Amino acid sequence: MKRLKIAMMSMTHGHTRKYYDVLKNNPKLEWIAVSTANEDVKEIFLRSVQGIPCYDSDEAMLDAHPEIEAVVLASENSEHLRQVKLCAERKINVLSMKIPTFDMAEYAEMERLVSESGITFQIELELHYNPVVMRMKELIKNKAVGDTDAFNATNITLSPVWAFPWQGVPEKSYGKRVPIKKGHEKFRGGALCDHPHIFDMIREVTNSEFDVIFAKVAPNMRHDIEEEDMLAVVGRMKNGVIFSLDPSWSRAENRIKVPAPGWEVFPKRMEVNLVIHGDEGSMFTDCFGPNTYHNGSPENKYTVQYAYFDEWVGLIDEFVENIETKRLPKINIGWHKNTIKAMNAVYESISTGKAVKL
Amino acid sequence: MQKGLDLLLKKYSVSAKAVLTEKGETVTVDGKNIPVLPWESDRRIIELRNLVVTGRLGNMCTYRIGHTAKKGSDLFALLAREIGILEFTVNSTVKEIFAIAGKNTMNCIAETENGCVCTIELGSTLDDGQRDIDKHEIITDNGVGCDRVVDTQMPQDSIYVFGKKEQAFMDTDAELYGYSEIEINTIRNAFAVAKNVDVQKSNANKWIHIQKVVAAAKASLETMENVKVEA
Repeated sequence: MKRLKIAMMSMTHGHTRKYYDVLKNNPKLEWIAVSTANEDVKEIFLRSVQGIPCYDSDEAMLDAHPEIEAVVLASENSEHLRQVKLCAERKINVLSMKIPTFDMAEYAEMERLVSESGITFQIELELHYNPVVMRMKELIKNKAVGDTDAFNATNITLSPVWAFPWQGVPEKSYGKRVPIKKGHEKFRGGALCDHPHIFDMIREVTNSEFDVIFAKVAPNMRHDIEEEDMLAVVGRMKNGVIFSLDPSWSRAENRIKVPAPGWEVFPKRMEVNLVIHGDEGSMFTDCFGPNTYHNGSPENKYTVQYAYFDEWVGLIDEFVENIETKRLPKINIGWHKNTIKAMNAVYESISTGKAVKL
Repeated sequence: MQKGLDLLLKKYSVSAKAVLTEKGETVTVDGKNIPVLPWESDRRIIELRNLVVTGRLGNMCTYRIGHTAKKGSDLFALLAREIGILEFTVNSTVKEIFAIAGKNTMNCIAETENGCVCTIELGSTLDDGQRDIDKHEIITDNGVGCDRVVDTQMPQDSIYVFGKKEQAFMDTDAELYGYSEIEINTIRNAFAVAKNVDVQKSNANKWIHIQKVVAAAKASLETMENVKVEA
């Protein structure tokens, strides 16, 4: 069997470690190399994975390994366009982290690069490979609660900024330094930028696009970070389905540098709960539960020990198959644009205090 | 379930020929019949074990196991499963057991080599269509680990539907989407057996020991004695 020669870049993204097992164990992949963006992530990587060549720059890695066919861009959002250019020039297929860019001019440039190079460009929205979400989609398709009337969702987590510092830097997360609203001390680039999943999922589940979005920023839970961590979003899709989306960092964390047991202060690090109200009933979905629970070390606090977390298996399977068969990824750069536009509309609504019509 | 097993064998290029029995109690691998231990591939049980073996929990004190199943279920088969879970999660073996039975119920106290005193409360009382209710709670000198969330009595699900009919769903495995939890765990364990000779040996040895514990429980029922498990 021909194996896809794959590499990773930067290793600064919070999802980096999710790829270790799948890149080693998927029989269709041959993990060739990684490039690390700084000494901190290099040290973490070398401590975690043995036997994979590690380079200090993307170019050095690509020059040393012309056989690389695909790359996971495990980098801060501000690096994506540069890395997409590097890959497109070499006809290397790309699995991008969840936010290619918030800058729509940059986004258009990426679309051009992808189109002209003919590479496969897939965006990592792993929720699609979650078995609970698969069930939810099936139930909605089968009209288990009739026609959807409202889609309410949380994508609430702890804040990753202490472990992944770039997420706390507006220029690296959002792409530039923009006050969240006039007279407000916080900048764009926080919790919203971390949580595109529910903005994407609603589009597929309702088979519709955003019509109106209204959002408000709330007082921060973490006063010493520069970006927003708490916000609320409501609105309506073009087909009339209303929504309420919560993409906050509303789960408290210990400020550790490497994710590990004891990272969470609130017992559950992440909650993606979806409530679908239809004209024949309601459906309540916990995408990451139930689990196993304990109050052991290191904090002796009640803690969720996640039991089911293998979205990256299906995601990588699909990526490999897309490349093999030249199939357009489900979450491709064209599809994802309206998700990014909606997230930008959230910031616009916060800034103007008005509902944004898309 | 065979279809699911074949899917994994093919995807991960495992060359062994593996055939599950219809109920998934054993898998034949290259002509060798091996017992399947589904709980060892059940993620909630694996995470309970991880809490123990990684030292997140402390030294064993007590362990509370409850399992209520459908009317007519074989209580000794239930006991075998729960002994398997006990031994797997505390990483030790049962050395003695006391058992007492009602009409459709059996309660036991088992003690493991590492000092865990475990109550096992079994019942076969549920009607058709009602799902098994089980719970595993490990209590140590440094915390409690449990596969059911605090302040609840029933196992939770990932989706609840309140439509024309009430439904609940628990999906745990995207690769084996569509199979029930027990089917998934059976397929996963059979797959582990097929690809790893060490698992074959381990499953066979563990099953022999579990049967000895069950035999000791039967002896206890007859004698009302605390019975040591045959070495």
